[in-house]
Amino acid sequence: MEARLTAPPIPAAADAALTEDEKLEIENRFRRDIAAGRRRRLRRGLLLNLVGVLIFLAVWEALPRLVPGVNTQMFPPPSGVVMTLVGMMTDGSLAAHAWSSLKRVAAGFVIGSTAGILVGLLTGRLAMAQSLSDPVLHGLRSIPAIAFVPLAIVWFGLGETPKVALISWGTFFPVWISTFIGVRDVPKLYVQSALSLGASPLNIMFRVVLPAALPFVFAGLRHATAVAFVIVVAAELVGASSGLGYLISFSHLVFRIDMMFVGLLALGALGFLADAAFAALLQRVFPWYRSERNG
Amino acid sequence: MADDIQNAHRLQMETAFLDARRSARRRLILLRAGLNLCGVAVFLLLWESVPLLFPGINKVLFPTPSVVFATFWPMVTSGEIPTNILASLRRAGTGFLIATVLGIAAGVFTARSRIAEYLTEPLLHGFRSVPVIALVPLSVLWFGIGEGAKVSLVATGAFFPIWISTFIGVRDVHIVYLRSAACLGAGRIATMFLVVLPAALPLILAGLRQAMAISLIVLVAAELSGATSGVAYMMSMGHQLFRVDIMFIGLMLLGALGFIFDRLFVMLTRRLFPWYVN
Repeated sequence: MEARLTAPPIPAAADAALTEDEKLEIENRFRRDIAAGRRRRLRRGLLLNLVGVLIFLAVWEALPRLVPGVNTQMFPPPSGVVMTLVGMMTDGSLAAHAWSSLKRVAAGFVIGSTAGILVGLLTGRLAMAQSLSDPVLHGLRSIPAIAFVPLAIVWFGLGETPKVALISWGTFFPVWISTFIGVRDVPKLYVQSALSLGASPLNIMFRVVLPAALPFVFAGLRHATAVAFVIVVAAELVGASSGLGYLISFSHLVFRIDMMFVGLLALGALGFLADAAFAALLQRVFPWYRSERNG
Repeated sequence: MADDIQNAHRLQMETAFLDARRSARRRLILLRAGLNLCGVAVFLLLWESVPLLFPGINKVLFPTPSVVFATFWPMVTSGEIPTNILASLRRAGTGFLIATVLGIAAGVFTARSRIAEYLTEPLLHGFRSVPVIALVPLSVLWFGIGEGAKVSLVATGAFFPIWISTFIGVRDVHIVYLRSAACLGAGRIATMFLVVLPAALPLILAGLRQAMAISLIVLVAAELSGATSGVAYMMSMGHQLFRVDIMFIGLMLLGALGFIFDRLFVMLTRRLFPWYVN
């Protein structure tokens, strides 16, 4: 760094005297320096990330020991939580709970988002359908899906049906809204070009409008995955016999806060992984939708 | 002379054209409002006629709109519904305010300081991916079922969207703005309040709007598990007493509250910051 600062500036005339090789060499050195700087910054960032997590864990671990009177049963340190986590991972109970939650999420997501895309296409293309359904759909949308949990139990009992129904209900709205916006805002020129090339209404719908609206549809689907993970917890907190939400409410009943933490950790990890997997899949399948990457 | 006549003629044509366009637009708006109304009417009619269409259906489990309304009105006049709404609003409002202050402060801090950003990033994102609803049982164990527990749950839920959008807004303030401010001799505080925050405002407002919706959701979850007042408490009472009509009233109230507050927020931002049209 210092050496470069004190090096004599290259005279203007010397520029012409440099051979192609020397120019290339200077350019390459410049590139290397930039790359090294970026790597250094990245390393420092990662290090700070790690330090932050470590400080948090250390404070959490130390707090029950340093502050007298803290009940470790109520406030389990990370070491206790990790021990419980390892125990639950080895006996397979955590995987079983996560699996049954995932199954519900997947089923509800598929139903809800299919309905959302279809209704979004319909309301986005037909002004009549939009005007007819707008107040009802927006009215239903503003009711928090969680508030339907008691009603779902009254109507569908305690089995899988109410949970899948609730998740479908919750995922429908974000997918519908963003599909609708995407379809409504398809450039008129695309549709007109397709029409003048003799495309049929169905062709226009599935080969012009839907692909053009796809980034919006995906944004809605991604939002819906997050919603699905919230609702599955709410649905499982009351009246379930498996699942991560059940794990949390069960450990609440038996006062095992360490198990609650394991449930929370697993939920956070699942939600995060699902979102990351979704983003990665999107980039893989539709690499041309760049804007989705940071959405 | 001829020019005058021509001008008058042109003016006449112009007004006629404008009139026609205006009336066409008015017709379109009327048509849309009519269709909106039709949609609601069809929905209510279908719902009302379900017991007629399916004779075997249990009316207690599937109350018609007329039944729901018949239950609704006495509950309003007796003051039961207003008190519950007020209790819910107080909790949601307090939690939302706390989250607003903390979220904006945290967002600004993490976006302006590289070290703070890197230190807290994985933690905040980790916490963010845990659904707040899953924290309800934990909060009941730790803080009981008092007001404090509910308010802190709402604040926790509303904090993350506000933080995230403030962070993005402040981080992405155009560097030219900052450089110009620095060239003109603005101090750190002046830069913060006169440049950074106004530039980040659209995103902060978007975060606040999202946080408002989340506050309501978390509030419902908190009230469903142990409360003695509130709209969701009313619903869980209805659930225990098998009064599906009361549950429907709760649902409608929640929907209306969410809708009204969202509209109010949008109106307020239009009023206060008319230059941010989104």
